[in-house]
Amino acid sequence: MDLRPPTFYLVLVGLAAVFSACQGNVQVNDIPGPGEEEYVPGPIQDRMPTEDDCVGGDEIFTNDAPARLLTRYEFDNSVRDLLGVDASHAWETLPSENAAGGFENNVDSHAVNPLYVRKLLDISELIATDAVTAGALDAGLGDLLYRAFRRSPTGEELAAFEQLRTDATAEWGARRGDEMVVAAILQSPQFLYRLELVDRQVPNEIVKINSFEIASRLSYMLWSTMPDPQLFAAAERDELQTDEQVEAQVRRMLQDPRAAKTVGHFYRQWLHLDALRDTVKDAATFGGVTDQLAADWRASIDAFIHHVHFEAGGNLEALMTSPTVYVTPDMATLHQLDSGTALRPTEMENRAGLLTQPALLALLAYPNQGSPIHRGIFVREKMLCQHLGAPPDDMMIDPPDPDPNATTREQFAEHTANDACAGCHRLIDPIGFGFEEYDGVGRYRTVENGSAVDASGELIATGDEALDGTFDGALELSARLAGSEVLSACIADQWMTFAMGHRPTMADLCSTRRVRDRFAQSDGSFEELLVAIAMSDAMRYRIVQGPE
Amino acid sequence: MSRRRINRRMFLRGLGGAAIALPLLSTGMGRRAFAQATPGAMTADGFPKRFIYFFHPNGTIQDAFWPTAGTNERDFTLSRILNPLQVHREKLLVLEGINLDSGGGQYGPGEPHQRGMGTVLTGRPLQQGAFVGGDGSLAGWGDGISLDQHLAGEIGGGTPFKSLHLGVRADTTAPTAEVRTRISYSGPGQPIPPQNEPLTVFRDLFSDFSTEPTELAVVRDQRKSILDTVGGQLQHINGKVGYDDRMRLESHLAMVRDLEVRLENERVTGDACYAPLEPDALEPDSEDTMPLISRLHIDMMVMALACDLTRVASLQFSNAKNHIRFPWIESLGDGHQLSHAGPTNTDAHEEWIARDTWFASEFAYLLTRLDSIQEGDGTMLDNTVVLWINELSQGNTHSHINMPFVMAGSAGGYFDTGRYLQYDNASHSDLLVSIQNAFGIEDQTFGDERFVNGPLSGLTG
Repeated sequence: MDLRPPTFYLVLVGLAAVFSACQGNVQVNDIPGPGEEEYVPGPIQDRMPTEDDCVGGDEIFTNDAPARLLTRYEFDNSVRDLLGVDASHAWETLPSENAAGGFENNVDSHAVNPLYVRKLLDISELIATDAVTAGALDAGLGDLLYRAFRRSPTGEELAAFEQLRTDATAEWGARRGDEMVVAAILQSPQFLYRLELVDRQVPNEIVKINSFEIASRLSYMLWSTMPDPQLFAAAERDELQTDEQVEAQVRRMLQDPRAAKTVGHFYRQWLHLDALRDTVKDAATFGGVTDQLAADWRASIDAFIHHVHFEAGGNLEALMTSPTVYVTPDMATLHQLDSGTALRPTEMENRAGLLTQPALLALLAYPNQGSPIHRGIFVREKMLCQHLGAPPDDMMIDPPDPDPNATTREQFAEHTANDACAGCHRLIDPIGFGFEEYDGVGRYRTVENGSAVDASGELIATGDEALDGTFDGALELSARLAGSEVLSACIADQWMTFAMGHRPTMADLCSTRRVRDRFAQSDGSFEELLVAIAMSDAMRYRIVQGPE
Repeated sequence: MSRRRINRRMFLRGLGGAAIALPLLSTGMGRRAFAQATPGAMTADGFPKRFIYFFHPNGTIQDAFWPTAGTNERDFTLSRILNPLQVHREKLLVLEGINLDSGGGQYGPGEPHQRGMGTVLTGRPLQQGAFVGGDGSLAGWGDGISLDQHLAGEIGGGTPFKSLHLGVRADTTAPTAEVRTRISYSGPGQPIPPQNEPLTVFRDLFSDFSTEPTELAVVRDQRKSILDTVGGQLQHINGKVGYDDRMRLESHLAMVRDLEVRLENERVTGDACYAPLEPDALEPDSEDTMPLISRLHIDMMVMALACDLTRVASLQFSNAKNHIRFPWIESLGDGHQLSHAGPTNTDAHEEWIARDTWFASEFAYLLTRLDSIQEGDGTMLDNTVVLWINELSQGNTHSHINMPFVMAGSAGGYFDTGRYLQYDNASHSDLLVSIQNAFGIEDQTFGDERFVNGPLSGLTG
């Protein structure tokens, strides 16, 4: 089975600026931003909805909604809420997700494999033992199935699980019968997948998502888990249909600690923060490096993200310009600050938001020096949602050996001096050089290898003329980005991708535009962004899949 | 039927304190013969043929890899990197001059690391997709079944495990799996993950060995009942989902049924089969545990093959474009940076050669273990094909020209080993065809036919 949808490639070139082999013909096939008058035509021009399409009347713009397999994170959270078993069996045992588009829940890529099926059997039995002890079946099998399937089970479904329980009880006793039925539920597709069923298949018909399905969509989007009793109650009353009803639920849910966890979960994936655990730094190059730092950096950036979203205004400006850095005792030593005893916030000099967080700068670096390339690519990819095309296949160059006594910038200057490399690296390195004031462990510096640091940089071909141009250092870069429509649209798209479990496709373009607009009009409020996504057509309607 | 209740948790953890090799509880039942598979998948004297691939990434240093040729194919001197294989010389085929044609950038998306990983065993260009490569380019998954999975389906003989995929830090591109970390595919866009933790692997493979047969029978019956109920759920939802979802769910539940069947099959028993020592819990994602995990995985893999728990296995060291260090041989450079070093950077090249020589020593250890198990007049190594692969030929050029392929074992005498063969720009797809032929699969093509000419010449006896 080929899990790739036919529109997949079009989607990628449709929503991101693509630099075709970086040869200078930069194509911005992006959706025009708010206020952008001129639509820049690209190869998929005739497939793109126009501005008129999106603003017109009552027309619904949405997509099909494939069966979504719970991620390991969602599985563990759901097991906790369903069965009262608080453990991370799935996270620790099941194979990691096949992520595409940056997120583990990507429907086109996250799929089972034989190892998954085998491991799921193992953990389901472990969980079932604890769950029965915790009273998972006390309210009856029907109630358990209702919550596990996130809808009322059919008579046939109930009968099938009753049968297993009855047979197993007769053979091996009631306790084992209970455990086996719980283990079977946890491996059943109705629990493992978020299924949106229709009795009557009318291909390409647009259907409104029913209230139980909306409950699940909201709970997995905002909490990464199954619906809570309030969502179930609202679903039973069919009160998850109007704009007001959905909005009220979303605002309630955002106050819950589970929303904060999901925000962290989003950033972990978006920024590849798990890679911090593999960060190794050369103690001979950097004084003060300890084994503890990899974990500390992770705690530090997690705390920063929480601070931005829930303490410092919850908006783009805070994300890109907040001077707050959370430091641990080991980080305090590294940065020659007064040592404390725990993780504590401090306002550091020469810091502005996410891009100057020590954790991120250390992540985007080599064991013994900073990496303008990683930092430049990070800004292109993560902040601007722009991808670089592949280099020519016949590029057989022997890279020069850099002078170890030169500054990092001088060592990497070869990339842009060499014609073969410059095509792509001119889009990467001049951004990365703007971070030269931060070394490979994220410390601020003005001198490297005896030479003054040069942190001048340049943004080109961002698709936003107001953003393009030279800048000096990461503080100016961050301030420039904070006010940029490209950044705002990029972050809106990342959240859309995460919320929907797939990259926005052609069919979602109008939803995506409206979400981008509402985010921009709210001055980059993350709460308004999430409300806008939850209320979009893409989240509340779907197109019925074809039979073939 | 016993009514005694088996606590699954106790069952799984019952081996926790075991520190000695466990005797076979089922030895009283006598030797259980190898399950028969298709004729070409068994040797003439009734042993199963096995396939193993061994992977390490980022290319090699060509000058230090290839042997020095003598007067004929059998007269050659192993290179610095291949020197640890000296003792196995007569069971090797060193294959120079083979290119990864199907990984060409003109045929599919992705950068060379991505294309190499996704094509080296599928023989197909990559799918379109959204994985971002080292240079920012985009690619998807491999676009077809890989050779190992094809063989597992054809020659597996219903062993308890269809195949066994072990990794030594195979997932350094945290947080998630992507095209640069996967080599095996059960179909287009369906990658198979390796397992990196030895203790988990041990429990999967060998926990049954310490369980009383009667208890084991109860556990199997219970699991069969559970899986039977799970498999039956498809009928309740099948008519209410669209085509794509139905395919997705059918594929999933087919795996559930396959597991149900395999759980009933028992391992072969005999002198060569015993449970290895239970390993300690080790941090799999650490440069400190790599050498130990490599040896533990090889030991378990060899025993899984000897016990006929599976007939197809792989060992994957790290993944394409990683940045790892090798402190146990005092190699502390960033892996990808080292592989990029220019031709005049002697220090970096020496460091890279030291790493590849270490990989050769691990490959040699695997061959030694396989060769230590007698099967008929030969050894298990003789009945196996072990293929050493890489996703690049040379790190600093990202080339797919002259891939460093080495093969060991003869598939029960099918290949004529002990030779250094130099091809003139052969397509690696032909090597894949040759290997499937060695297992009795007569097809003259594998993967994308554009890159296939037929079996590679001169390999057989």
